[in-house]
Amino acid sequence: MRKNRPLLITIIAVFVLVVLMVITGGAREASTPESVTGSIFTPVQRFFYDITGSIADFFNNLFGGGEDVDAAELERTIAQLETELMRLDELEQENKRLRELLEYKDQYNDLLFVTAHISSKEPGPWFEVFTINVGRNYGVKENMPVVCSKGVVGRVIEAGGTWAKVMTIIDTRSSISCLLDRARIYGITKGKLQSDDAAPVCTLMYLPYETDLVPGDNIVTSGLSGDFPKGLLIGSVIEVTKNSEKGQKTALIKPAVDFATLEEVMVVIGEKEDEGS
Amino acid sequence: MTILFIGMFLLGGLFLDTAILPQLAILGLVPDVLVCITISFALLYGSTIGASVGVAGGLMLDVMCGPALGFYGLIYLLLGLGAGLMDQRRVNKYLLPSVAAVLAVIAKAAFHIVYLALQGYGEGSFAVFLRYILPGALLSGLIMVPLHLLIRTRKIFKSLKRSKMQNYYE
Repeated sequence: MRKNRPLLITIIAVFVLVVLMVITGGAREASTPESVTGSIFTPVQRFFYDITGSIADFFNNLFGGGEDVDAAELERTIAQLETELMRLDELEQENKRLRELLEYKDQYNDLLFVTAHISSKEPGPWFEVFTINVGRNYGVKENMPVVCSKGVVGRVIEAGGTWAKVMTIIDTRSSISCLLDRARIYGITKGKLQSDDAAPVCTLMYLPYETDLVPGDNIVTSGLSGDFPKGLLIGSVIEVTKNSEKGQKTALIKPAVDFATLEEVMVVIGEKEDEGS
Repeated sequence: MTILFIGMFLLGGLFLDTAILPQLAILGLVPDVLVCITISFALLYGSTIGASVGVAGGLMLDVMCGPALGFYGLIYLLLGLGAGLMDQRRVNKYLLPSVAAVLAVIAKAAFHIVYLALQGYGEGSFAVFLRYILPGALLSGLIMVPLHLLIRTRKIFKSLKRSKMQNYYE
């Protein structure tokens, strides 16, 4: 019996983890231990995330165009100025992004937003999930839409005390009911596994065969998908495919949001009419 | 071996994997540091420690960005367990950690593919595997060399200290 103890513990552990996985698979509120752990990790992760972002920007600037100067003094001064410039550039960029978010907010006066910073990302190419630094403390709940100044980013899949996990629209498991802005026809926008270096794309599905759809058409949320309000920009059509066997049309969509450079997002926590309720 | 030592590595790996490396990725390629840490502990201290380190790291990753609680916990547990069972006498001990890390990253990708396929989202998995996972696995194999040395140095240092203490009392 003693000899088989490690094997027994392993089998039990595997069983417990599988059960946990099945139970916690969908969108949900984080349990207390998860919420506390996440609350501890999120500020540290955001610190590292911001620092690394600045370093990456610095190297991008450096390799973007630098000249060789021999004098050590000049080099030192340049290094100091570059650091200062980098800091100012960072602030300017943040300022610009936040101003864009404010402008976006003004366009949707009837909606209530909470601004959040991205603190970490899911490693690897399989899931397009990231963590933000606001959670239930700001009224963020599961399935709430997440947007940025350019358009729809995704939705909240798990909310902890001071953090939340967001599944983006380019995640292969994501699907949102959408509307063709010009033709006023409903469809479903699904995420797609990104297997090349091209910009991420989504798939627009279940459109009638006779749908008038051309590249450049805008796709917006239909208002039928969970908490997503109607009319938020998802992206634009880049390629249309006809499937005569199924009698349907599908299309590739270029999301309006640039996910590679995304830093701040807004969670739509409700409508202003709901404020009193 | 202290819990603090393991915890330090796990937290470092977690922050590297989720907050630092995704932003520094060149051509979308990143090494899997947490997998390397799990494999390294498993090779040095056996399957029980390997599995424990794996499940702890995996659960932390689950809380931060996993698709479901237990998903990464299960994967890392099995990776730690499997690596700990490898017979090190039969494989080149200098090559083994890197080879084990490469295999572990590939095995982890296989879990992802199965998980997505079970939910009906398997389309394009093979292309992702070829484009990101294989080069990323090789990168993990490279990272494994200094990382394993670091963890191994601590083990050697500890055993030297222990033998010195024994000599002193004798």
